[in-house]
Amino acid sequence: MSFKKSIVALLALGMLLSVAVTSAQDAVEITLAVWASSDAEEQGFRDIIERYQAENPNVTINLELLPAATAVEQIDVRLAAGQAPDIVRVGFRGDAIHYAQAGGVIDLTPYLDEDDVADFLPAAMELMTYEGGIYGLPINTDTFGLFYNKAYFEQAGITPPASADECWSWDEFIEIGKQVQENSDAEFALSHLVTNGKRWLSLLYENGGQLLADDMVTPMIEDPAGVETIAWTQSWYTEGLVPPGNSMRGQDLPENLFANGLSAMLIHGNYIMPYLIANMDEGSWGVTYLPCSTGQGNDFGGTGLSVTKDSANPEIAADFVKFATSPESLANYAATTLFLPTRQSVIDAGVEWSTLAEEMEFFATEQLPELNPAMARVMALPTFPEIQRIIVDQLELAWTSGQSAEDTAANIAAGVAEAVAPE
Amino acid sequence: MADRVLRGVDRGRGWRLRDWWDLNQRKLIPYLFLTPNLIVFTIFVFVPIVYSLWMSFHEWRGIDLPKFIGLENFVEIASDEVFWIALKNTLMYAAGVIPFSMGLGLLAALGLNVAVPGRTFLRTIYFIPVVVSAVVVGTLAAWIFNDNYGIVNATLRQVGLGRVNWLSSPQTAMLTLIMSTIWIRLGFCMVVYLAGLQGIPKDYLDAAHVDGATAWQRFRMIIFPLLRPSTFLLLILNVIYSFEAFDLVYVMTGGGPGYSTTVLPVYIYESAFELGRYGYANALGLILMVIILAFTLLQWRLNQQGEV
Repeated sequence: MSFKKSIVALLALGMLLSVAVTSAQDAVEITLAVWASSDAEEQGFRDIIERYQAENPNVTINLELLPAATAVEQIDVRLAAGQAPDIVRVGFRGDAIHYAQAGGVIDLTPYLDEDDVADFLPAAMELMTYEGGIYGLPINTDTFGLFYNKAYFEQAGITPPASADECWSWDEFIEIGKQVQENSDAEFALSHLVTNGKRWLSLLYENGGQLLADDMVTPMIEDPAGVETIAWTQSWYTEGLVPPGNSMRGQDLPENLFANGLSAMLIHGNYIMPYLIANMDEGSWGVTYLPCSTGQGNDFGGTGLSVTKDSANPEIAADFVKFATSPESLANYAATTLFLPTRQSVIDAGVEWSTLAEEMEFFATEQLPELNPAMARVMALPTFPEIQRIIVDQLELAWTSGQSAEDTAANIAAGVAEAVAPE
Repeated sequence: MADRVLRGVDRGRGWRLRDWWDLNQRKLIPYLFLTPNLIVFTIFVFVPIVYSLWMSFHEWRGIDLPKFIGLENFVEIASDEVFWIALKNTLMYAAGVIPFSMGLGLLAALGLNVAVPGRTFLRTIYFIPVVVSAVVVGTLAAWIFNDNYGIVNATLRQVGLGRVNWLSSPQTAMLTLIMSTIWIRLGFCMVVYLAGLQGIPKDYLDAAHVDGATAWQRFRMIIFPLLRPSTFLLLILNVIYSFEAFDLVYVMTGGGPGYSTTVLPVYIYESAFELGRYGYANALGLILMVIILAFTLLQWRLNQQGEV
């Protein structure tokens, strides 16, 4: 072997070795911890993972399923132990803020492009932002509509509103409720999922009210709009329109009451439709506009993905989060899971829904614009879990134990003022 | 004896240990038997209690570092309205559960202590809720008492009575919980009383019978006094059980409606895991421990006085 040849051979060998070494370094495993309330939801994540791995053969994404109810507790414990998964799903109940506040998840700003971030729904981004940093990207959202039992409406001679302009006023809604309860086989007019603080707030904002003034420390719930909202929801119970077990802390499942024909109407999220399909006769239910008042507000659910401080490969984890929330991924995820997309461009372009296309378009185009960023700012407060607790406890007393709307508003105001007061 | 001394001398220093062991064997062996349990108790009970005491002087949200705040948690508890409601509810719950589960348990034990057909079957039926997890029993009870589809309301409707909002009305929710708990505890009380009844010599009862004592007199003068150790044991266990009741309440009512069934353990859980106020929850937990301890000591004293 000549000198030249041996040099070439050596070089070639070196190159081979270096390739082997780098690919060994590049083989990365990332754990993605999510909860999935349905098979479709799990499939939605698996699809994203499959596509990402196809584009990035050196990366393996391990999907870990957590129970939805205790996901935050479990992640908290693992963060405390320094063993959290790389990427965690964060709920629009302040999860991202909760983690960010304690340094559990990392600021993704360095990995993000400002123009691209602007495409996400502003209300959703509020819930991912803490002290100027972006601690997650929203992957799905959902919102409320008014479902109704067609047979009961027919019996009572009620026609649901056909357009946003025709929506029932709050007073009309109570009358409609009485009408359907008296003149149909329904035992109750309504069952609903307004059973936590956040969802109840959507009614307050819909009524033009605010929990806090723009300074974010002065309670405003004692204003007429606030007292009125408490009194209106209280009247659902005093008028006997809602089963008493369907309260803030009650154990009745509203969708169950509706599907069993006990209630004529159901206020619930778009994601309940697969359940209604599975448990009710085809064509026996419809969905329409929520009763409307003067303001802007609708329930605001959803989730995002965040990268934890314990990730050994934050760059790759962030890359996956960006991939999972890209327009293409969001559209696919929404179509599979019947959740709503979180990017304006995807909503505008339309999603090819796997089923219920008409109903899903109704939610995406008619109900989603009602999301109120001012309400999202309240939901993004680090003390929001505490605020929720106060609202739940006080409304429960108003609904089930006869506490007056004025006292309820005063108690919420006092509790919230204490919760948001600077230490 | 001489042999033993010789052997000790032969083995030089070793004999001291051997001798020491022979001397103290009787005192030491019990501790050796206790060691495995002591290790488990230290890790899972004593250390957490001390840690809990330490944590109750801190503010901790779960992830960040605990911040020392002295007695602030306890000061807040004193003026916390919900704490006092929860304490009152806990006492009400205990007052409802303890006498009835023990009374009915004793009744069942008396009935099933005599040869009746299907005795073993009935004993098993009564005892099943004790063996099954409280979450399962709670879920069952919640369905039985469900306002809309529950078998109780369905039966009421069949006989023409209106529906009762068992679990969704503040007036009835605690009552429903107490009834469900009695269902669970009755079997346990029955088994302890059955064991107690079988320990009563038959001669005493026969002699009383011969002397012309009525059934009630035999129960009042012989059986009940002789069951005293069982009653004392059950009283302590039931007080602890009712003060710690969490699973059943959480599954059936979640503490509602309103605060009508918020008992202390439920409030502790909410403070810790829903509000992330671990320090505050630890302070609440300590107070609950002190209350249970005080009740137990009180019963102990009363029992000792009664024995003299």
